[in-house]
Amino acid sequence: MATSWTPTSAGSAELQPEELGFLAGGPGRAAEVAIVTLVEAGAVRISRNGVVSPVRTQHRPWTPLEAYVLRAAPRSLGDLVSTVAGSTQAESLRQSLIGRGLVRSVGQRNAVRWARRLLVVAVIAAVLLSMGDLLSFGYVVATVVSAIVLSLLVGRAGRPLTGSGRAAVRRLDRVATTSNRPALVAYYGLLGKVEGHLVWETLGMAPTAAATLKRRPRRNNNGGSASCGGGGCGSCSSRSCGSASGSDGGSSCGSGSSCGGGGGCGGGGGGGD
Amino acid sequence: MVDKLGVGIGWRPEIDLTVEQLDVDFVEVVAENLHVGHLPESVLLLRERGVPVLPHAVSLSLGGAEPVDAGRVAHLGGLAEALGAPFVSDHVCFVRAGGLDSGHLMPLPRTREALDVLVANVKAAQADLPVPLALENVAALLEWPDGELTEGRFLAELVERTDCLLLVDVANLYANARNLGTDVGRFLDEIPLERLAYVHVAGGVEHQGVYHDTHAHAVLPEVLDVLKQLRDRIDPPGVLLERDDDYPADAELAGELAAIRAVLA
Repeated sequence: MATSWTPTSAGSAELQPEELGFLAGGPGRAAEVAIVTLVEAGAVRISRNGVVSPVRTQHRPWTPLEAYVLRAAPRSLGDLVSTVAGSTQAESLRQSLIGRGLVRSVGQRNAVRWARRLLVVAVIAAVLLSMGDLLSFGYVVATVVSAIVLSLLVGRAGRPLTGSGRAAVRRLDRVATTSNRPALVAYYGLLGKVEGHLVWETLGMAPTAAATLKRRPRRNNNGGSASCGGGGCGSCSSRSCGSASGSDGGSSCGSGSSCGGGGGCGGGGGGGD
Repeated sequence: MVDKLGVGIGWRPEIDLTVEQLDVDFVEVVAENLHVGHLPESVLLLRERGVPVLPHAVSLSLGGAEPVDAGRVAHLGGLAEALGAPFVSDHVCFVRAGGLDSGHLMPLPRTREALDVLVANVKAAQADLPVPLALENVAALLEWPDGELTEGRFLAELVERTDCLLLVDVANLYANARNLGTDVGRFLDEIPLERLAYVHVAGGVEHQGVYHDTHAHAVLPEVLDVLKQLRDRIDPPGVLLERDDDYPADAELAGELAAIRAVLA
């Protein structure tokens, strides 16, 4: 029987690996963590060609995402990650994290986006009015400076993760080791690299199984490298890192680099079949 | 008598890595699920290790009234050559008639007329196969009326007339004993055990008073008892565990293989 995610106060002390995976890499990453956790528990096995199938075993309380994995299998690893990432269970996980103050809601992020657009409109209007001698140059300078300051102030609020969420991802870095496989996947993603090795290799997964994972090209909005939570972009997607829209370039995931603009990799998080 | 095979397991794509890690001496593949030109990496790896891989067919419909499909026989033969298999196998049954597939291994009427049809089809298949053919007894939920031969005698005459090998499924034999009253001891006494290629062992479950040979449940001790009765008569060249669904943990499969080895010891 699946257990539910219980909203509590913000903080990562009670966060489960798949919740941390969601923070670090979005719903696709959370799906990867759920699958790897089930492998570790002996509840599923992954074949050489990447088919994830349930193992007949004693039932135990699974998280909703794990329970969904068990119901959706057998299925190829890549398809399973996509399907789980697009499930209502993954959306419930997002809502739980929003409720715990770790992820910003779509509404919050849209509001910031619109605020930024209004600031741009205000600056353009001030310049045009100045050109028509309807506004003094001093007002234009003041408007531009105010817009820059306000944009910087609301900028942080436009990121998918709250400060608590980003802090949780930074703390995940310390436990993401090969001896803690769910945490390793949560932080780096199956297609991420740790100590020069691909995570799926470290886990002993067959190359043909890993080949079913979908690495999608990241849209590099700011010309910089993209990452989720500072640990690669294993499962980022258009809905990754707490961002439901993903249309805004420059959304950040824990470490501040862009990962919300439809890029990402490792299972195509927000897809769903 | 064929060469010693040991204890094996049915190779299935879902458990390929498990099969590679288990202590098995040979494996069996479902012929219809493989393509000669695109053999699974796992199967090739097992062959590289020297593990015999035996193709097992389910679609020749050798007991059917229609001539055997030459294409299916050619596929089975091609697979045998690609895998270097010492022999191939299918069932004493029919699976299609009038253009319709049953989806099940249907038992044959145990009449001399049905035996004539079976023998003709087996001989036709043998003529086109590059290796010997072994034939397996099936689990039946019904018996056709007016049978003239016991199942053991039916198989014995089949072997006598075609020189085929036998693949004895002790789980099917147990199922027939439970559901149809087949005498296990008499069956084993009547079949030519010297023509035994290997043995199948599988799990099943009783549902509403009928035993179902599901290949998706644990092997019952009663099935191992039938294996013991066979072992009391002959040391079989090979015994293979079949599991086709609801796969358990690696340790459970290893335990079932160990139980089989214990019976053979």
